[in-house]
Amino acid sequence: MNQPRPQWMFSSFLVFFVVHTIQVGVGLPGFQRYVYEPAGNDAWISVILAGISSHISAFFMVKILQRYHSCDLYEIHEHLFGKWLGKAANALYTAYLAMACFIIVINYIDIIQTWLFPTFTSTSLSLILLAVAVYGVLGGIRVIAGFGFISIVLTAWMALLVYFAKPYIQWDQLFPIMDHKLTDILEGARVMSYTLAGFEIVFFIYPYVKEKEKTMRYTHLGLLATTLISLELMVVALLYFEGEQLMKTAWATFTMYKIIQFPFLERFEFLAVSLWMLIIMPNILLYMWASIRGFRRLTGRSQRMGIILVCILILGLSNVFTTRMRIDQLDSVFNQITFFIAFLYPILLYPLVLFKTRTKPDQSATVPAAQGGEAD
Amino acid sequence: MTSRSRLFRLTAVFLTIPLLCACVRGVPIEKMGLIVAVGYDYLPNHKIMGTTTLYQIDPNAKEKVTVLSNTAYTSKGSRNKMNQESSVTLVSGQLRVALYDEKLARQGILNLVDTLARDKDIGSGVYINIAKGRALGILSHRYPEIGNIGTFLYNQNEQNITGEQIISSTLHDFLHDYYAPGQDPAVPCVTRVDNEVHLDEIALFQGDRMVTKIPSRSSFFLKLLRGRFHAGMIELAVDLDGLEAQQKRKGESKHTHSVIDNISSKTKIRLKGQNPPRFHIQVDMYARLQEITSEIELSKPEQVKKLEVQLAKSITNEIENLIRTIQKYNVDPAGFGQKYKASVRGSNLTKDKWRKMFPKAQFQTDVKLTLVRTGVTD
Repeated sequence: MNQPRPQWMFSSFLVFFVVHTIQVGVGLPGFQRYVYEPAGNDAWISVILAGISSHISAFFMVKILQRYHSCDLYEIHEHLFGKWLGKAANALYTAYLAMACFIIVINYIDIIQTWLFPTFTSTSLSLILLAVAVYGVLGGIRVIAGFGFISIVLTAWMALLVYFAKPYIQWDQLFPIMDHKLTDILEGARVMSYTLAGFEIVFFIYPYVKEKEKTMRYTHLGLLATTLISLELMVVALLYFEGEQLMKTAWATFTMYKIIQFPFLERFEFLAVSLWMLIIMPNILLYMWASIRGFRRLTGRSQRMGIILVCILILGLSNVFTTRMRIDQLDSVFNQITFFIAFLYPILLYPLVLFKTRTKPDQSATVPAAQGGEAD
Repeated sequence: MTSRSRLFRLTAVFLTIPLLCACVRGVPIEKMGLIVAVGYDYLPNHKIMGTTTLYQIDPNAKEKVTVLSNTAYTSKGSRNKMNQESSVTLVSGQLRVALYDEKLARQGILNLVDTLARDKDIGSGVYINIAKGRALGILSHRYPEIGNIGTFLYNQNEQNITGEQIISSTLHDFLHDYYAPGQDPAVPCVTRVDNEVHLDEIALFQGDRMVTKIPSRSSFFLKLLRGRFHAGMIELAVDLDGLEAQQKRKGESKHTHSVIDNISSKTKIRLKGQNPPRFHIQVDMYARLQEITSEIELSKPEQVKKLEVQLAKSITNEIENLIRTIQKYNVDPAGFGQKYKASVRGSNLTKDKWRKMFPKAQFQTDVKLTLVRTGVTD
């Protein structure tokens, strides 16, 4: 594909914000107990391991992209697998992205209904979220990346709030270190994939990045920021809650916010829950934008068609998944899918890309980049 | 795209949002009764009596406090019934204190505490107290000098906890200690003495059942052992052995009483042996002398040294007494089990296991006290 027009492109430092904002979403409020379940008090090691593996996957992902000049994953698929198989892979990936969008919407609705408005219907809530999302997606990738930047600037301070848990912290609860089997800790790291997934968005925004050689650096910085924040929230939760108590806490991060009291604001977590919309909105935007591009490439129909289709799907399904049990089941299925797609897939794809780009260059849509000599 | 379609889209989006926001029911503050304190009393046949104290928002009301009470099988059930007695909707977002009467506490209060934690409206900082006598008697009494008994109890708890006089027993503390395999909750007791309310004893729990009470001065030592201690004052009886007291009071030949103010302290609890568990408790305290009933030459360094040793001995005795008491009742409010769990690999400690081990545990206490200063005079 030819370079997108310059006015559609954005500076490479925004990649940091895009990667970080899409990773931080509905996972962080409540990932602690899922990791604690297999790994116990060693859950923080699982978080570090998961963070490291996200760096490895992202490394291969950017390496794949650097083999091509300016292509997104849809074009790479067609180059690698040919027309029909490539279309099939694209269809699967589009479905995955739309599903991610849906998962975020229903999980956030669940949070709102639990913490703020128990009687608010799912339909009206998803209508509100989708109305904003559609507006943003129509604005294009520059608007979305900019919104990701604002979202982080406005909400990053919330990571410091766990300071208020300090009087209740008990360091003993971290010990003994490595008391669990390595397999248990690895299982905990696998569960983290739901929380850390999202960086696969780089596969789609890559053509729009201005200084492409800096993508690698900013992607890793974004991943590092997310890993550090998840590590912080995990460790504080381990120190603040006793194990069994943590297992009973659906959103450990918000429950920790419950201890915060200001003279002018009695209950802080209500503000946190509302502000969380700023955090999840870029995720909805990015996933929706990427899945609609897939839809357009598959069917050749207009972007508008895709948006309407995705919105109708989300609206309809959000009424099916209204109980916590169903959402939990869907989350655990999605967790396994993200583990494969975000973490394993780039690594599996890389050898194939190497093989394909080493043979005679395909003259049609995809042009392999100059071999070697690339800065990362 | 044309500016017209953009305008249309913007209008559509912004019109939808206010329309949809109206789906939520509004709650004006004049129509709410803010619950400040709740109390639960034991009744036979698994029933409980619930009492609540409300903020009165209505400025024309004669009484500042409204107290409602009712009986039901569950706490939320009793709240529903109270709602029927009230002209305003009862909400629990401002709840500060929960009282449970002793009889109820001796049977177990986990389900009643759990319902507070389950409610998203209730913060984790709600204070749990045990009512000696009936909670109804404390909450419904008309105190001439206390405006709102709920707020009073909250302030009383808060200032005593920040002043390190009693142990902290917020909702989070209680549940944490209940779920911890090697720890048990400890909760201050409230008594009404005529028109006053006292926080005077500490109820010790075995799991969620209260088993005994210890005097509130023990919470100084309990806090020392828990290691979440910063500063506090304690009155100690000191052996006069080896001290050159200038004038002994009549009838007080061997002891003197002194008050020390703990400036900072560090407690290290180490597990030395596993079967039976042997603990070594090392307390390093920096304190200043506030008051002493016998005159001792404090300008002489060796006298201060001796006083330090005697004070440390006195503290060691008190700690050992406390440990004997908690071992006798087989409750672990100090969290020795947590230390055991943190030091032993693969212990898989459970409450039951720790109950069997704790009475056999051995303790060795070393207290080192440094008198930093003795006030503005020697």
